[in-house]
Amino acid sequence: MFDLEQSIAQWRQQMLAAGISALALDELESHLMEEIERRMKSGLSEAEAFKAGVHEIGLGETLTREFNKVEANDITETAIDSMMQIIGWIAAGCILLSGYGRLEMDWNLWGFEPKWDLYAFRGICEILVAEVGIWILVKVNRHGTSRFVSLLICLFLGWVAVLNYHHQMYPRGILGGLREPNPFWYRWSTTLLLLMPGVFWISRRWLARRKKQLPIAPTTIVAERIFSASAAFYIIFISVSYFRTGDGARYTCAPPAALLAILLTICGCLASSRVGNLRRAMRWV
Amino acid sequence: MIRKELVAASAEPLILSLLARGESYGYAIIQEVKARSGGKLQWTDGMLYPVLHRMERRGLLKSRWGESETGRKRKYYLLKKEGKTAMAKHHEQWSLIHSVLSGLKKEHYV
Repeated sequence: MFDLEQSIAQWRQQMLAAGISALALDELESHLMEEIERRMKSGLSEAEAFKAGVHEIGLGETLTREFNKVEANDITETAIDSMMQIIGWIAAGCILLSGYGRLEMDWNLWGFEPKWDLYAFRGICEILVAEVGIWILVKVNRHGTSRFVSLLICLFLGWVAVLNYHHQMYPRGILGGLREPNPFWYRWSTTLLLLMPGVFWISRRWLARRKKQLPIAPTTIVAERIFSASAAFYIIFISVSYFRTGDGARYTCAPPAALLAILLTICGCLASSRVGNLRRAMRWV
Repeated sequence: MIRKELVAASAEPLILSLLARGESYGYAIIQEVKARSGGKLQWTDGMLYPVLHRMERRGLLKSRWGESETGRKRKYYLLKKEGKTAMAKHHEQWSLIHSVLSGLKKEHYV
């Protein structure tokens, strides 16, 4: 004698064993019940309707694969979003601390000369600000209304860069702390550190494409854009740093070159956002 | 039969457009698409539910558990504001493709 409830319980067990989540399974069960009801109305017996309904829903493994594709993308997306939010908060904190540091802070924890620890801290503030700016910039093409915000951020980044690279512009107020020598100039390791995640993402994307099993997550594409824009940003600034001459010019760099770098960076960001193509971004450089 | 790639590409705009008419649930969505396409567009459950979940996570839809007329548990999906925006974008893009295709077809027969 066919027992529908028992058969459904067994089917649930099989689905759970195949890796379907309990929440998704509740929904699938509801679907199965609708299907059974419809088939029974069309004249099938309960057992036949159940068999046909189960067949219609498909194998647990196939469903799990489909769900996994979606969840894998979401996990990455959530992770990246969380990471970016954290970076945003750190950046905001660093800006405040950096401004405060200009007035009060003059520490030299490890005795580096010049005070690299202090400079590195302030430099990192800039890097984070730049990263957040680029992140929002990448969002630009997705949300048309954010264009204005991104433009303001670009102007802000440009202004910070000018302050950093022009010795005659003496900043005041909360952003004063940003005018310090930064790690771009004598710490290539920072740049390498920033480029490494990009290499990781590019490799991941390439592998995914090669395997042709998993779709490329949108976040991977966004990360690639961030990487390419960041790479353009840092490569330009490192190149620009070569314009400086002598110890006295540590704080100085040719303002036109800095402005050019900013313009190129913005163009690189826009280009990479639009086409998601590293080569295109690099072409701007 | 419609190609698999086209079925997959059209899933999101069709779901959004169906839900723009009011809340619905997985089974009804599948049946409606099947009926409207004269049975030529058949979605499998394995395809629909992951898509619905993804759209919900992307903030295009929201869901709630309710009850059917017979008292059975059922998960309803509703369109959110972001979903409406996405739908408008989809409509624009699909209309463009349609107009290009129609134009080319006309030229072919002139």
